[in-house]
Formats: sequence, structure tokens, C-alpha cells
Amino acid sequence: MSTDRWKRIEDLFAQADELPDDERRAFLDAECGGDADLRRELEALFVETDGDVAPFESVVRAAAVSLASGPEASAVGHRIGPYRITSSIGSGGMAEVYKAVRDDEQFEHDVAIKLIRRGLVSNAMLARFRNERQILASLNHPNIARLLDGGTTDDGLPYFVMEYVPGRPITEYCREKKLTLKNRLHLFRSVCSAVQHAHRNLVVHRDLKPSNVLVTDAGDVKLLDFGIAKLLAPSVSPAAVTLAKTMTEVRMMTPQYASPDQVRGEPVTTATDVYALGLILYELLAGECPHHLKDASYAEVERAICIAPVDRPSAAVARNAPSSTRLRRELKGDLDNIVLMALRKEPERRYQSVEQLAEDVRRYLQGRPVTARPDTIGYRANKFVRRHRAMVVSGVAVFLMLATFAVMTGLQAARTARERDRANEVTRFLVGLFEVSSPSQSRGNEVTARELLDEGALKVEREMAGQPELQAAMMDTIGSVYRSLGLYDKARPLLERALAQRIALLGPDHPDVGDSLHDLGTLYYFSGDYDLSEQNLRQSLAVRTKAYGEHDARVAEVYSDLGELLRTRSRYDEAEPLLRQALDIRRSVFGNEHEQVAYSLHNLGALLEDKGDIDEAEALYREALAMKRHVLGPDHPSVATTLNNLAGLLSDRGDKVQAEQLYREALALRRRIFGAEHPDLAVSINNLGLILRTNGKYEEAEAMFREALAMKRKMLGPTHSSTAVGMQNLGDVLEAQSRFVEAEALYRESLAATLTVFKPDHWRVAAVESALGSCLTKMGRYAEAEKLLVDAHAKLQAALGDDNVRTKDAVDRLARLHEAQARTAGSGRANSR
Amino acid sequence: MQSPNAGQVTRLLFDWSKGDKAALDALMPVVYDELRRLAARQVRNERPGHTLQATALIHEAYVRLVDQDLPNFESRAHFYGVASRLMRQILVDHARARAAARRGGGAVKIPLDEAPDISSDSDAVALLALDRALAKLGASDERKCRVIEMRSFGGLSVEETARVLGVSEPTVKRETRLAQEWLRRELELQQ
Repeated sequence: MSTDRWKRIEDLFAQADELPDDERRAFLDAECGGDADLRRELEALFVETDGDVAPFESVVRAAAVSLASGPEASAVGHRIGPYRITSSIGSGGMAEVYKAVRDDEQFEHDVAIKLIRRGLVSNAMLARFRNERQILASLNHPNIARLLDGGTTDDGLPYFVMEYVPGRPITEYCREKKLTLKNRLHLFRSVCSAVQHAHRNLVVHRDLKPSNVLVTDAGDVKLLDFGIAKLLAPSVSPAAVTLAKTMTEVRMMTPQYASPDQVRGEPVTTATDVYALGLILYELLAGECPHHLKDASYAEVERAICIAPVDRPSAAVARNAPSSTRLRRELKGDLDNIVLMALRKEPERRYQSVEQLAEDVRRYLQGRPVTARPDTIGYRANKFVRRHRAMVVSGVAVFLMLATFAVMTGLQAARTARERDRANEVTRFLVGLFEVSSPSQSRGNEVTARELLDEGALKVEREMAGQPELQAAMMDTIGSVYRSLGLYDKARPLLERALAQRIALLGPDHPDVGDSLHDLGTLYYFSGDYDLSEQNLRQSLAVRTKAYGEHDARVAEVYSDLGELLRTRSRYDEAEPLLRQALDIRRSVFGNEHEQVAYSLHNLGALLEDKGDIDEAEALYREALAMKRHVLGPDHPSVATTLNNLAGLLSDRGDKVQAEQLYREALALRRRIFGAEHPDLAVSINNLGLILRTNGKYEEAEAMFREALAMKRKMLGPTHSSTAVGMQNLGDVLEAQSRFVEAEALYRESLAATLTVFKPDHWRVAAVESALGSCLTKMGRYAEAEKLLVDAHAKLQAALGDDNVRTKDAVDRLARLHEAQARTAGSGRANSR
Repeated sequence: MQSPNAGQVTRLLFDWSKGDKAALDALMPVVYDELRRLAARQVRNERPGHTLQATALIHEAYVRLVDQDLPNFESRAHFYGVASRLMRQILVDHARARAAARRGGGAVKIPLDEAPDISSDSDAVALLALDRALAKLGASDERKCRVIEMRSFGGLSVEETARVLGVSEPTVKRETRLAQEWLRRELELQQ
């Protein structure tokens, strides 16, 4: 059949198919003209209707019946190269294993052939296969089943030919022969010796497990499949160890024999085999594998292998065979220690080599002291950190999976609001996870959380380019997490790219674009880029209003944030209607009593306080306080926030006594909620310190500031912006006590810390410079002071405007400097006379 | 009951549907394995002569392998698409083994004690002929090949096939008819 003719049939059929029956005939008449064959062929196409596929279905069904009723699809009886397949040994996910015989020589000998399944072969695999076959074939050790040959069948399927081992798995062998502990250990040492040999030849097994360690009836150990796992691993560029790859590799392995390194996607090294040997030894001694992962999800596998501590073999025996008291006694101590040392989660803390493991077993057999030690006090001190690190490392995978889940669900189910909310919740949860966990943990862990993110961001960048929508969503999420950690420079490029990508993909009015604009606006707010913040928030407001209508919680959110921004910029008159609008919307959406309404009341109160409407501000704070106590309960952290603000207001208005009392109340509440350490607790202590200082109780104030600063240093690190504020406050109370030298040191430390977070012209930098300038004035170092104060005033004026308290403070300080200079100049002139 | 691989398969499916070719490489062995396992189990549990239904197998594999909470119809359709291709592969492998055993000569010898029964052998030959014809069709018109693969090997409905291929249902019906006709002619030529 000619291609042209078929093409014509296709075209005509497609056209005719569109036509109603009565027009079709006329159409075909016209098109076919005198070509009766063509006409007949086309008519035939219209006979079969509704896309029936019956003719082929019967062929397929017959084949399926044959597959299901016959023996396993089998190559038995076929020849592969010079080998004749005689029987099937077994099958795994990647390959069928057959017993075969080489019969083109005078003497027949049995071999095992592993035939890779059709459809699972990639070119990369074939290339690797050719490269590594030689190395594997060179492994020559009595306990390693030789790789004899390999190649591809006529059909192009790769196969390996290995020495045939008539044996059974080592665990089965020990059980059936009821081997003594001592004999089991000797057998295990043979296994070690084989692995050692391979390691010396730079071959790592990667997939050691009892079914790959066979023992013949004669009692000889033979290891199978050396290096095969690597040949079969899906190909990836070495730089990019992807999550999918890790999952695939672990999946191809039996999960319970995977090492933490493999689960985490770290490079496979000889330490991986040490771990696997530890598992085999465990099973030989305790009679079971420490992990029971038959129906486990990936997350469960990851938890069990990377995080959960391993039971001592003696404890497993006590649990499973309570009557085996003698075995338990024998295992307890040295053997427990040896096994657990091989099974440590961190590769670098296992035995450094298989030799060392084998040597320890030998020492035990000889009754000499072993090198393995239980977890001692020395490292128990670090255990939490270490375990946490393991968690964080594996957390990259978990984080990405969770985030992907969130984003995916969001994308797929964008049509149903409920699903979308669920996805958003997960995202919020992730962001919250970092917000809450990072400061309350030690500084070292904040660094790892950051590393985790860096890696996550890199993966998203590298691996999701083909999925731009998902990639944008991930960048937005990770960017927000960076923002919540205060890593603004890291957050910015991600959020900006997410926005650009979303606009390009989804158009400028898509709700996701509104989200991105909001996130970016929030970032700019925190990083002090107020113009950009305002610009983005206003755009977000427009997009969201268009998408959701005016009466929507998400719209209220932007009104509220925009109001907060304008409040910070001292544009109170513009801020007020926005915050009132947010309050109105929230009341109409959530009702009069709701936490969101309470937040709005609080925010509006804060604005009015700044604006100078102290009475209304106080009323709003009190209303917010009552509502929060009612809706959230009296011990909610948010109650303390409003208590703090109310106390601040009372303090400013001059009611220092009541203010001090409210601060003490807020502090007591936070000590109750947060225990010994929490960033908000530090804030409360700090605030009480401030009022105490105002009330002239310098010593108590100093104690508070020192406590707060110590807490912040520990939780947030020495350069966090909040730590910097703590330094400044302590400096301030020292200055009030005329301890200028100490005060100067703290101000300078604070300045350095602030500069690591904020740009030199940020008002927070200026605020510290202003304080330092004031201190230097008192110390008589006018030139230094003047430079600082003039600079600071200019920055504050530019950032916050003339009416801001801090700008006014700076003006006062400059005035005092000039007074002091004038006095000195006056006295100087007097002296010189 | 769900397979321990459910989460991974779901994730791989998602990646694959988004264009990640490597994900398919990782997906194939899992699905292949599961399908064979299920086929073997059906043989054990069912009456002799019971017809193994490719469609039922694939549905069951899907339920076991894919996280039911997550995917929408889209992912399910993609899964059926993959599974159909795998089903074809599995049946062809099987048929090839049987047919080869009979054919003899070349690289493969006939073991004398294993003469295959004639009926399944002719089925095997028919299937291999269909496979070859399909491969030829696929070379010039991949979509038609996929349509037959999904409809005949995967047992997908017109609607499901349309969803996988991202075309309308009338298009699927039309492609089915044309592909059928093309294959019919091709198979006649082969004989």
C-alpha cells in the first residue's frame, strides 16, 4: 500500500467523518470520482463504529491467557551465547536469573545468568555495563562468585554470567544447621574477607543482604552480585543526585537493607557495605533484621533507617526469645557494641573499614578486648545534635516532598477552594516549622536549617526547570522560608523569579501572581525596602481584589499589611483607612468575635497610638485583649503581645506604674508559656527592662537586659537583629549608670551586628549610630560623635520622616552634642585666656 | 492493600507526566513487576481456563501502586498509558519466548522435551505479528500506535484514551478505525 494513497484515505476519512450521514455520501462521490477501490475502502472504514478494537483484543487476550496459564515467561531451553538455559532460579525487579550450562566445551559447567528485563535497558546502562564488566571480572576471591562473562543477547538484552552457587542465604543456613554463635562469627568473618578483597579493588557491593550471601552445603561462603547494583542504577549525572534517583535506588534495594547514606542520597562508599555487614551480623546474632519495613511508606523507611535508634541485638533476643537467656548474655556487651558500631547512622562514625570490623569479631572470638564502644557520655553530649543533623540532612528530602506535595495539590486542585486551602496550609506549616523551630534551637541548628534550604533551593533550580509552574511555587515557598529566617538576600531572588515566572506563565491577573506580589511585598517590608514593598503590596491588593472580590480574608490580609507598612513609614493618615478596611472585612467575613478581628483591632490600636490618638488606641487594645482572652484563652501568646503594647502605651502616656505592672504580667504569662527560652520571652524581659529603666530601677533593669541578651545570643546568634537591639538596650542602661566604657563596647558590638543584617543606610543602623553618638558625646569624643549623629539623623529623616520618635531623638542628641561642644569650646577659650 | 511503593510511584508518575524521562525508567520495573505478580496470583487463585483480563490487572496494579489520596483523573490516565505500554511489552516478551522455542535454529535451539502446544503458539505468532505491525505504524504515526496500545493492550475506554493523549473522543474513535484498517492491511501483507 503506497504511503500517498494511505494519506489520501486518512484525509478523506477525517473530512467525511465530520459530516452528517446524508452529506457524507455526496462528499465521497465527489472526492472519489471514478476510483471505486478508494470509495470501497472508505466505506469500509465507516462500517466499524464506536472505535471497537475487537479484532486485536482477541489476539491480546489469547496472549494474556497464555501468559497467565503457562509457566513464568521463561527463557528456559534457549541459548544465550555459548550457554544453554536449563532452569529458572528466580526473578527480581530488574532481571530474571537462570541456571545455565556451558556446553560448547568438553566439560560442562553450571553458571547463573542474570538477564535484564526487556524495556528496562537504557543506553547509559549499556555503556556503564561495558565499562565496568572488566573490573568486576577481575575480582578473584574464593568467597566471591566470579563474574564470568556478560554481553547482550541477540535481542539486545544485557546479561551477566556468574559462577553458579548451589547454596542458600547465610541466615537460612545458620538457622537450619543450628550453627553455634562461634561458628556464625567465623562464617561472618569469611563474608568480611570477601568484601575486603573487593574494597581493595575499589569495588563496593552496595546491595549486600542475606540473599546475596550464599553458603554451600560444604559450608563455603559465596557473595553474589558484586557491583551489579551500580551497573543497574538509573543513570544520573554525578553532580545531581536527585530525590527520584535516591528513591529509585532504595526501591530497587530491599528497603530494610538500605543504609542511611543510600536513603539520604549520599555517595555510596565502603562505609555503606560496612553498614550492610552490620545488618547481616545483626540478623545472624539476633535472628531478625532490626528494621521491619515490609509495608512501610518511603517516609517510614527514611525514619526507621536514618533516625530511629537501633535496638541492641541482645534486646531483640530478649524480646523475641525470652528463654534464650544464655544467648542474650553472650550478646550483651561486646557483640552488641560491635553490631551497633557498624550500624551507626553517620558513615564516618562506623568502623573505618571492613578490616576493622572483622578484626573486632576476631578479638571477640579470641577473648580479647574489642575496640567498639557503646555510646559514651562523651558523645551522648553531642548525640542530640548529631541526631538532629541526621534529621536535617534527611529533612531536605522530606521538606522537598512535603513542599512538592503542597504545591502539587495546589496546582492540581486549584479549582476547588478547599483543596487549595489544604495545600496552602501545608505551605504555611512548612514556613511555620522554620519560623518556630529555628530560633528556639541552638545556633548551630539554625545554620543547618539554612543549609537545608540552600540545598532545597538548588534542587528546585536545577531539577524543576521542566515544570515552571511547580518551580515557581517552590521558589515562592522556599523564598518565604528564607524570609522568615531573616535571610532576605537569599529570599529576594527566589521570590522575584517566582513572580516573573508566574506572570509569564499565568498572566498578570492570576491569584498566584497576587500571592507572589504579597510575599515579595512582605519581604521588602522586612528588609526595609519600603518603596518596593508598597509597590508590590498595592499590586497584590489589586490582583486579589479582582480575583476574590473586596470581601475576602486574603484581601483583608493585604490591606492589613499595607496599613502596617504605611504605619512604619509614619504615613498614619493613609494607613488608617486601610487598617479600618481590613477590620471591616474581617468582621464581615469572620463575625465580630474572631482572632483575625482581634488582630485587626490590635493593629489599628498600634496605628492610632503612633498617630497620637491615645484614648482610642487604649480602647482598641483593651477590646483586642478581651477578645483574645475570650477567643484564644488567657494563656495564649498573642494575649501577651497585646498586654505588651498596652503597657507601652500606658508607659508613654506617663502611667509608668501601671505599665510596669502590665509588663510584669506579660512576662509572667510568657514564662509560663515558653519556659526558659523563647524569642518572645526575650522581648518581654527586654520590655520590662525598659520600663524599669524609665522608672529609674537601673539595677533590676540591667539584670533584665542581661538575661534577655544572653537568651538572644544563644537562640538567635550574635548577629541577629534582635540580639543587636538587646546589646543596645544593655548599653543604654549602662550609659544611664555612667558606665560609658562598657556602654560604648556594647553599642559598637550592636552596630556591627546590625550591619550584618541591614544595609548601612537602614534606620535600624542609624538608631544604633545615634545611641553610640550620644554615648561618645558624654565621653567627650565630640568629633566622632558628630559624624555619627549627623549621619544617623540624615538616615532616620530619610527613612522615617521628621515626625518619628527616633528622628526626634537624633535631633535632641545632636542638640546636646552642640551644647556640649559649645560648653567645651567656651571653657577651652576660658582656659586659654 | 496498598503497595509500599505507592508514594514513590505516585511521585514518579507525576514527574513523568511533567516530562521527566528518567522517571519513566524508574517506573517501568515497578509496574512490570507488579503486573506480573498479579498475573501469577490470578493464575493461582482462579479456576483453570479463567480469562485473564489485561484491563482488570492494570486497574488492580493501579490501585496498589498509586497513592489514592493524591492523583486526580489526569494522573490515573497517565498511569494507564504507561501500564498499557508495559502490558504490551510483557505479552510480547512472553510470546517471543514461546514462539522462539518453536522456531528453532539460529541462536535458539528447541529443547526436545518442551514442545509448546500448538494453539498458544499460533496466538504467540499472531501477537508478535501485531507487535511488529504496531511498531511499523508507530514509526510513521506514533499516535495511532498509542491508541491501539491503550485500547487493545491496556483496555482503556475511548474517554480514558482521549484523556491520556489530550485529544477529543471523536478523534480517538477516528484514529482507532484508521489504525485498525492500517494494521489489517499490514498484517495481510505480512502473511
